[in-house]
Amino acid sequence: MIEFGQPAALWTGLAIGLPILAHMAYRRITQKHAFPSLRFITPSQIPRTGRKTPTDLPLLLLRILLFITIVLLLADPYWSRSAKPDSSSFEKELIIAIDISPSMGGWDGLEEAKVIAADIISNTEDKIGLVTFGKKIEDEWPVGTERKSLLESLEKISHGWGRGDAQILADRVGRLFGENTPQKKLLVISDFQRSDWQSVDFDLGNKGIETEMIQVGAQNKKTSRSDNRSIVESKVVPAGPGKVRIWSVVRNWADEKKSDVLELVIGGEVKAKQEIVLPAKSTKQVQFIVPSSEVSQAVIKLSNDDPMSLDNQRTVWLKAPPPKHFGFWHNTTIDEPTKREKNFLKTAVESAGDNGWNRWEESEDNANGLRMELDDSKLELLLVIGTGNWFQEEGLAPSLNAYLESGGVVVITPTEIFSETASIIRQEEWLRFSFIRVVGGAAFAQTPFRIGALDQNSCLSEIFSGKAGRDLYLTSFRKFGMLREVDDSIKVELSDRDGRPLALVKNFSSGGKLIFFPFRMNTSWSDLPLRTSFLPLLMELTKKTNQHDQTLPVLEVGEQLGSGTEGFLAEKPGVYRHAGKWVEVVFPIAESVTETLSGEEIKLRTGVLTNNPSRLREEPSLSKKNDQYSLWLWFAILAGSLLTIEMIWSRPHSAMEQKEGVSHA
Amino acid sequence: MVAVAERDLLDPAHLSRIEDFSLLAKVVVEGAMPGIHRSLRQGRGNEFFQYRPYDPGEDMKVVDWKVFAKREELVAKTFQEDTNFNLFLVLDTSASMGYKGEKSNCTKLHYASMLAACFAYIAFRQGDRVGLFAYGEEVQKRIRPKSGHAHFGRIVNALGQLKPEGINKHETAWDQLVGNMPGRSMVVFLSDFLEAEKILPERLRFALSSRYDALCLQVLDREEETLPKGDALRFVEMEGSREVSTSPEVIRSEFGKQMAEFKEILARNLAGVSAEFESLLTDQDLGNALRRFLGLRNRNVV
Repeated sequence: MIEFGQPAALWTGLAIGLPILAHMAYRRITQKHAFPSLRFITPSQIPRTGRKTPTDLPLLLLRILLFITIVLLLADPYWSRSAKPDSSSFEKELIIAIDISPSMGGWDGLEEAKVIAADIISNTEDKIGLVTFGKKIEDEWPVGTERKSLLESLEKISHGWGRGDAQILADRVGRLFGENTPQKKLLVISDFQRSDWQSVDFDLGNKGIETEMIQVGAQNKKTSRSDNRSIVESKVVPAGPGKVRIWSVVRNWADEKKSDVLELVIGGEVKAKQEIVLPAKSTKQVQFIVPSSEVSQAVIKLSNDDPMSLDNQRTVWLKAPPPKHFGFWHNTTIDEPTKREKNFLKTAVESAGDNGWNRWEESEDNANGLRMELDDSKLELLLVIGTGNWFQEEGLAPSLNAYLESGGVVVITPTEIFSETASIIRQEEWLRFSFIRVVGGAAFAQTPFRIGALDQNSCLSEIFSGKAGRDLYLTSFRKFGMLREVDDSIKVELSDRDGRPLALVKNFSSGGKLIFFPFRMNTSWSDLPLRTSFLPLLMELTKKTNQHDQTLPVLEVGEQLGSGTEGFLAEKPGVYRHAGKWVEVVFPIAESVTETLSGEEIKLRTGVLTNNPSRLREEPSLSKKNDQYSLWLWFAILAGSLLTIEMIWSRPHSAMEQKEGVSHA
Repeated sequence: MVAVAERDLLDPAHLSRIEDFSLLAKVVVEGAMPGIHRSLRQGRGNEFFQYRPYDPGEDMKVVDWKVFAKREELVAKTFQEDTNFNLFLVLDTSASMGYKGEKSNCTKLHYASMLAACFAYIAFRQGDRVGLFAYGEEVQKRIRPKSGHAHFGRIVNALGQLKPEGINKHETAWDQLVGNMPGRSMVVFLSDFLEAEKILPERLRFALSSRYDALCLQVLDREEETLPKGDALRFVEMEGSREVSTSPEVIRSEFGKQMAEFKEILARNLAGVSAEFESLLTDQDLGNALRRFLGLRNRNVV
């Protein structure tokens, strides 16, 4: 049946009386009459005549019909299949997918999306489901959820923090529809940020899903899509004793120069400010040098607001992590060779750190505490040098065993009397081997021993491959303890050219590690401590397989540190503590990108057309639209035809054809 | 009966059906008004006229020896002698000449063309040289005066091609015409003379000279004197874009007075420059105009 979109316009039908009145009380209109000269023709009063009955009845009827057509045309007529809701219409399913990636939190994208979605939910008769997606499918409201519930849920939706990935939606959405639903429609509301959508294959036509895209968060009167400033990187590094340098990179995404103020907030107070001028589409580095304080965190933020404010702030960890401690066990009365050995090893381990937070520090207290089996004494590395009778006299074996059982790493070097050391090791059953003798000791002037080619399975083979190994292979050994029958559980990482072990490593089930060098780390035994290879060799051998890094891990939202249930999933920017270490979670910089796909690109990459949201708001009911067929065009054609006929019928007659008495209303 | 037949042959209602102006002129001149024109002068002209029996004693040069060789009969050739008299037909072909009233049978231009064709035929029969000058906004036709049958054909052919168009520019046209006017001429000017009662006599001053005679025939439609019927009409100027909405019934009497006054002034001004004037209506027969023409022509017979 015919219904009207603008029924109020039918009131204009009262104007139907106009042509009737005009035909009742018409006046004679003068006709054109070509005349040679108007010299003596003067204007005069035109006589009027009136009629009590309409004249030109067919013309009157035509004009009334024309008026009716125009009135109906103004009332926006459409043909509705049925006045009652069609039961089959409930078999249509509509899923509204809202992008909640962080970029939707800027440029009013999410707010705009909510308005559009609420409009559609309120006005359509289809069964509706709702999906929010960002880095993953965040939330799902199955098809058929009550409208009220959907609207309430819609209000609570907020943007996510993880980098958006629209492909997740494309892969998932097919399973959200009912299997036998005849009509499936997916309505995606997104800002179509280029970084999230550029590699998406979104053609769902083969799954029988009709897809419609609505772009939000585009440039409008309030916000400019190109306007954004963001902190793309922040790092804290030591800057001398008691100071730290906070180094940041700020980017201006706009096409024009912008100025802003970068603030450093520590403990809730703005400690420093820097005005920055950012050229168009470029970055600028800014740094603050501040004394280390008791406060562990600082916030770097841009003080001026822009349409995308989520990337204007960065939290950084200020305090240095504790250094890794190492210590020595040696004879209380330290002799000269042991002293030199200790110096070599101490220098090497201390220099194994970097300029950042990854530092090694000797802790004599902790070493002594470990000697006395104190629980709170922790060492990352214990170096037992010149291991001899003093070790047994002091009864240090249980302490060492306990340390190894707790996962400690121990380096043992022999004393001048090698057999003492070999005896202790065998006795404590740390390593099983047969000590033969110290080779080279009696022939000091003879050709020194050289390191043989590293086994491919050796942990050293990788770092000493190629030219890096040249220095290692030039190392000369004057003497060392010759060992044989080394147990299979012991790994020989280094040996001389005759295959005699030079470094024995045993890994314990607790994670502990024991490294035994059958030579002393001083120049009377070998020139190894003088070589550049010494440091990497020592640190590589003492490195634990599960040794944790002291550096501050930086994760992007959505990334995971570690695996399984013990892992840490970065959910929101900030600084967090996990498993005894600090983790910095940063905003995904891809979400700061201001570029979005154009309508043509959306069509090209997703295989579906994009829609103008404002148009959709004007036509809120999608299913209604499908059941209604606008008759506007037909009425317009009819009105045009009637008007043409009327004009031809009532056209002014030419001068040659004019007849007296022809009248026109 | 003769009178009725004669009137029929001069009636524009009948004549307007004849498309061939040559035939029309013959019908009018030979049929309706036999003997109105003077016979041809036969003499030593250039154009052959006819054969006649040789009169003994005549110059033997007139004998056509080819005919004698064929028929052994002395026959004299006679030639049409030029009168050395020029008839200049000037027609106004402006858009207003295209007017045709509701009850009229032809436009004013057609009526004027019929008259011009008759004048040309009479002149041709009298051995006069005939020229044509037709103009509206621009000169439509210009034919120099000549005599002879072929030339007469050109004149009537040109008359048949005239179309009423453009705005009348008397001054420009007459300036061109007077500069090229041959000596001893009679100018017959056919126009509606609308709005020309002041400017035209100035241009016709040449008629004061004894070498020229001017006959101004004003051709009007009857509706131009009485206005068309109707309660109200929107008059549109044929030579302009002005429009006036009025009731003819209301203004008819005033209009008639002003038209009569206009014609009177026109006639007086033309008389002031020794130009003869006659006002004609398109529903009148052609006889009156022909008689007026012949009267003036015969005055100039040498």
